[in-house]
Amino acid sequence: MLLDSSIFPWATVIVATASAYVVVGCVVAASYLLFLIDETDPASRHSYAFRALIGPGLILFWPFLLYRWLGSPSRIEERASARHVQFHRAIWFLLAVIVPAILICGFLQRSSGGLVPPVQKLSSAGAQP
Amino acid sequence: MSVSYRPISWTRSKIVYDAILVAAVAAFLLGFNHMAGRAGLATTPTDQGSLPIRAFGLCALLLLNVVLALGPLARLDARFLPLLYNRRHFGIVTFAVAAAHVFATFDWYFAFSPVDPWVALFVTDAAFGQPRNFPFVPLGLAAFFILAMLAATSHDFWLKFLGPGLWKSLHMGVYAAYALVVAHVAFGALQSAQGPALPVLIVVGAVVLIGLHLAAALRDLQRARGGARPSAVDSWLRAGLAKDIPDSRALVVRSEAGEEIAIFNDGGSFSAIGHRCAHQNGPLGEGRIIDGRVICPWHGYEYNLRDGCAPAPFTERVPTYPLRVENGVVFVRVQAKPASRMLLEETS
Repeated sequence: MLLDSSIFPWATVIVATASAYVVVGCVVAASYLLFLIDETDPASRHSYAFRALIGPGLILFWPFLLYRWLGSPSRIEERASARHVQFHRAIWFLLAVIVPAILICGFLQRSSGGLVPPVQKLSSAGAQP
Repeated sequence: MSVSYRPISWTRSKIVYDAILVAAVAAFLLGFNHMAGRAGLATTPTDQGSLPIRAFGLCALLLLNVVLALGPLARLDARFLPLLYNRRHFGIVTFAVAAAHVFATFDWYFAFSPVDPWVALFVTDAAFGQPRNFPFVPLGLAAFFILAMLAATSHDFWLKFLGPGLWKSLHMGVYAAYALVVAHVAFGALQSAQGPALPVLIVVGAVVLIGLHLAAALRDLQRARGGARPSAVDSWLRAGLAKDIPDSRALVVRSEAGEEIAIFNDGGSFSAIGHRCAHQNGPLGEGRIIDGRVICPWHGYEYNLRDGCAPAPFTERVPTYPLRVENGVVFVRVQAKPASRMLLEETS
């Protein structure tokens, strides 16, 4: 596998930011699961095993959790509406165009010789080729 | 949910469903090693280390195709409805196989790398400035994160926490994941695949999937156009002939405002309730009737046909609508009834 060091700093920043996001998410999620969930959702009382399943989602959505936890309670839409059905239909009309276009581009690239090795400039990254 | 949460709500049919699904995945993965060399799915016969990556990746692609096909299949032919009932577990299995694909990639390509594997995934083969080498790895990574997000929010807790509207919008991200997966394969594995197997699989999969969704969408549009017509009086809709609604089945009509109403025939007794389940917007009009209750085909939520209420201790409710049958013609009124009133209004 070949590495392109020109985008290495960006990749490092993205991964470091994501790691920090997850660490904060772990703290927020653990706090919610231990101290608050019983008050905010009566269906969770005396039910503990399911909390392990929702933990990853709480870590992913901790900003939304904080918003709901600390912010003013917002109205939750009670039902998914008919617009989702229309949106779903529109998505598939769009995919009917996008997916064939992607496949055509892929086949064109394949017919022109497939992947060629990207420029290798690795020394500044300190990684081995 | 309106009762205590459970980690997984298994029923006998769901256990059978899951067992068959897991067995099929295991059989595919075991058979892949045997068949890959002959079918040209492996880059080289000696590259045994990359076979698990290809096996998990192809399996995830097929599972994603199937899980996305279940919805339109069930809408086009009711015999596929049982496959739809446990689609959530199907999605979780798809994510698990995709995760195995990602971690098999780590294990094979980055096991001894001094670079963090997650960083390496972004920079490997990523010739962003060269049109010929479109970076397929970040595309797959983006799809994986979407699938992870959907799997992480699949529990009923999330439906309540986010609300059905936001939850449904979030889970429509699976369509973006599908496009990303197609691009990931088209610009990745397809470029080095030997033999016709992978090109045929990805093209046929896309054609079938898009064809099914378009067919189901067009059929729904045709039904909406050719379905209910407002009668001259008040806001009653002429839904159709009573004899055309089979016993224990429903006719779904749509008002001009887009409101979907399911008109059920339960042993000659007609009633009208909202077509969309209060749980996840499932199509109640495609559900079975058992003991006067309609069972949502998606997740088994039940509603009394007479008042639209789920049986205790559940508290979900769907709207009910005034209905009358005149000279064999079913009319339904678009305005939902107050919750306390009874449903059935047969005038003849």
